[in-house]
Amino acid sequence: MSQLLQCIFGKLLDFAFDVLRPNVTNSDSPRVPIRFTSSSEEKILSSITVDVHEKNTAVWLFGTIGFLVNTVIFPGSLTFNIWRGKPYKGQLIFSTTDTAQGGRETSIGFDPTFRNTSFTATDFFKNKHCNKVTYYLTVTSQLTSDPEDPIDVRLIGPITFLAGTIQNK
Amino acid sequence: MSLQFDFDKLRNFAYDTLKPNISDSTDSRVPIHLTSTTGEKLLSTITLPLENQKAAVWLSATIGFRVNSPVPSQPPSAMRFRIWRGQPDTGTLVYSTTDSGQGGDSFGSVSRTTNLNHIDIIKTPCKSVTYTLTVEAFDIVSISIIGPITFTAAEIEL
Repeated sequence: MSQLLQCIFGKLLDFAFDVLRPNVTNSDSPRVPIRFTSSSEEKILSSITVDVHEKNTAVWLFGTIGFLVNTVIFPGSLTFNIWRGKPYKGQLIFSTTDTAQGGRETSIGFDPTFRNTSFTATDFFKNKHCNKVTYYLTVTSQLTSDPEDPIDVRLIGPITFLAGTIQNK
Repeated sequence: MSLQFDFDKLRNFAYDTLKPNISDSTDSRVPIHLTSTTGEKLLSTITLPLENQKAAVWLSATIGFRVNSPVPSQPPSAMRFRIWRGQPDTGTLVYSTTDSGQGGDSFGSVSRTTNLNHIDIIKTPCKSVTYTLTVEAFDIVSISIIGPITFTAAEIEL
């Protein structure tokens, strides 16, 4: 009788993550809050590094970011980018924009509108790759305000950034 | 006699994205302009190979859209995202969710991002399964799907 030796290695080859500590709304991590003005430059929120050794490797990326907007009229938009490599030196592989608008005047100021943005992205390496690959999660703002409606946009947490490498046939 | 090593449970992975997968992508699949009369529009289709007769399929999607309301005081614009196992109408509806946006015009464009996650349990001995992601707008003036569009499926052994 022959022996059957079965090896199922699966396909999740590597996994990396970065989160705030604590990863909550209004986190007291020193990485937040991040305040935005109409002239804010692109800011790096997180970076994670995975091993990509095999050809036909897919990278599955997830992000979740919490922010608030306090404005009466103008919407506040944040664009989240994922770069393979450093911003503007590497390759932009994903970008999405989310917007919040509104706020309510109270006796002590305005109650903001909170927004949670989550996204899924993929990257793919067709050929063998012998280096580690670093992904950067960044944010830029698109804000309009005037003296009658000053805008307050703050990234307050959570920040979650995950990557898993998967070998596809 | 059998000696078996199982190292993890992720068996297969399939995905579809725009190229480039960004807001206001230049991919010819976008923009998709939606009104109350455009009906259900296909966003993406993926086929996942299956190794197991019983498996959980982890479905995830991200869609970027822009609200084109003439005035921000108009009612919110809503649309429903659906995931069908198979094709719309002839397949099985396994997931749906509704998201809205409001505002726009001279006060600035309103771009939104919707993210979906779902687990579909497969119990039939098929070699593959196809999922279709669609969108249908209702009670709106105008919405445009502008990108990104990401649609992924992962087979998880149960």
